[in-house]
Amino acid sequence: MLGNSNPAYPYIKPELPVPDLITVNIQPALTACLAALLLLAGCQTAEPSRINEEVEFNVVDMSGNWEKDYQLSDDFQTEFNLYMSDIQRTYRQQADGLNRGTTFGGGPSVGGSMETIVGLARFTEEITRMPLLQIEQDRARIRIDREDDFALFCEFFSRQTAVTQTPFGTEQCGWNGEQLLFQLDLQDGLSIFYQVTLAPNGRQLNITTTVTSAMVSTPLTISNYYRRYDIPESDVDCILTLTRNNVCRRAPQGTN
Amino acid sequence: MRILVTFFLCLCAGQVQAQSAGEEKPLLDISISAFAMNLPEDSREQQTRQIYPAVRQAEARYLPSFLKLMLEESGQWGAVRLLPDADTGAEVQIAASILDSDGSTLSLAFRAVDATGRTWLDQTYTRVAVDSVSLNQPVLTDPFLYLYTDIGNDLAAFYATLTAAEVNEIRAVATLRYAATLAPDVFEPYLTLAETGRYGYSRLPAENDPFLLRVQAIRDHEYVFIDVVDEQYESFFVAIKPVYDLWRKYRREQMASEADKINREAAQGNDFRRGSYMSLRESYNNYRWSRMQDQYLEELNEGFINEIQPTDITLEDSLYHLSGTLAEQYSEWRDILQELYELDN
Repeated sequence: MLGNSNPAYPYIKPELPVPDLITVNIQPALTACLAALLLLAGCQTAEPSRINEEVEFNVVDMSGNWEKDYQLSDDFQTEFNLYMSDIQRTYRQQADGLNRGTTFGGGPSVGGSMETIVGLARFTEEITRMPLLQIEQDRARIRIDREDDFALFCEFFSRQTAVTQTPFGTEQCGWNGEQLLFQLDLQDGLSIFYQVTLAPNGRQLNITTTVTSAMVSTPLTISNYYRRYDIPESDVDCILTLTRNNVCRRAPQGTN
Repeated sequence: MRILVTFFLCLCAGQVQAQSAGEEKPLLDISISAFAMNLPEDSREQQTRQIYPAVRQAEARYLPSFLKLMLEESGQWGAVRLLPDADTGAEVQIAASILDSDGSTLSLAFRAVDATGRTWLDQTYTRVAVDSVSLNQPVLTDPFLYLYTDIGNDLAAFYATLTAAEVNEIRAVATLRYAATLAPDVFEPYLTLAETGRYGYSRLPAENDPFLLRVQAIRDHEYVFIDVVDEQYESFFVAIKPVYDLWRKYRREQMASEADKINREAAQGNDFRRGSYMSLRESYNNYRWSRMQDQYLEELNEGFINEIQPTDITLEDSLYHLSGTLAEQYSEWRDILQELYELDN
């Protein structure tokens, strides 16, 4: 049983500042800081690649069926409150710096409009639901099937990272140590970064999703934990065909 | 009228016969080798160009099978045989490499050379799929039918330019070159090779040359095996045709849908406020759609491969059996002929 205990492996949560506002709902928080943030709407450039070809890696077998552990996973409302606090704090620091005549090293200005911050939050909440995962993996590739979404797929023949390009975006993947990384750079300055980590005992999986919008200076990160579950083995073998869809036959006894 | 008399080796009888050049031109046999798959070595490039090795392997056998049927149907040729590799005794050897085959476009680098080394065709044929093209037979229905008719017409046009003497020379050289692979000491002296790379013959063996008769007997024996493989290719073709037709149809639909989506997006653009929820959603959904298309394509390939696998294995076994059997028998035949030649001398 995992219960409420901390994960049994060294997962480093993205650093978040100590919140000024302990409990806030999305709307009041946004209203409070809206005026200031609107003046400082950020315009970031495309997210630089976080996947390094030169890093040593060790392919970890993540295959299996995984269900979301809601107790361990981030609560979205809490994370959003922390996120807003972070934006506010950074804004104050920046405002103080401006008052003192100093600037923050030329980085993107803090915040974004209410619409873009709420948009980023709502969008992030949607794409990080992922209640069930099915992972298939061999020595050269991994496929993470997510319920109601496209599969994350990575071919790692060598140390090179794999890049998939479509007319609507680019997906880069690769290993960093024992972590599997995916970076999606999509239209409209949207970038999504997934870090997939397996616990040393192999029973827990963490997916940390960082969503960046070009119109919001601070990315939003959500961490989800998964635990293995087993599907009872079926005595029916099915294969997909073109002319007859799925063709199933009863598996010979003793093969399962 | 002066009748030029020339000699040719009649393959069917294995005898040297005289034939006047004024007579009707004999038909030439055609040997087609399985098409080259032309797979990029780098699997990433295969992925980028959406080339799937298992599908391409099936195409390398399916496409020449269809060409064979088309050439047979034309009635303009003698025996048309499909072999896994080049035929050493081919009168006309056809080889092709698949440059592009995505269900929507078919492009072949095509080459036809006769036994004398004369190049008939060496060019690329490309056609875009056309629906419902048929030669009044279900088996000869193909979206790229016009590509095959282009090839068939070009082959026939080249054949029409040859004189009867030239055709007879092709047949004679084909037999001698085949014989020379089995008994080089005996038959190579008959052959000439010009600096241009063209084969000819300086003289012909006697009508009742025992070595020629032996070689012909071996060739006939070889045909028995080749015909078995030929039947396997045909069975393979017939079995996978409905599946491959469906694969190409779905592939075309998928490509058309993709092109339509890209064009639509390019024309409409993103109307939502940059960075808004709707704008992010739109970006993500577009990408999601394109990745789902990739995954649909993978399933399409998987379904295709699963369905043709049993037929593919049967053909593979047959080809393996043929190559093993022929390699073994060639070796035995060569030894026997060499011994006989040494005894005679």
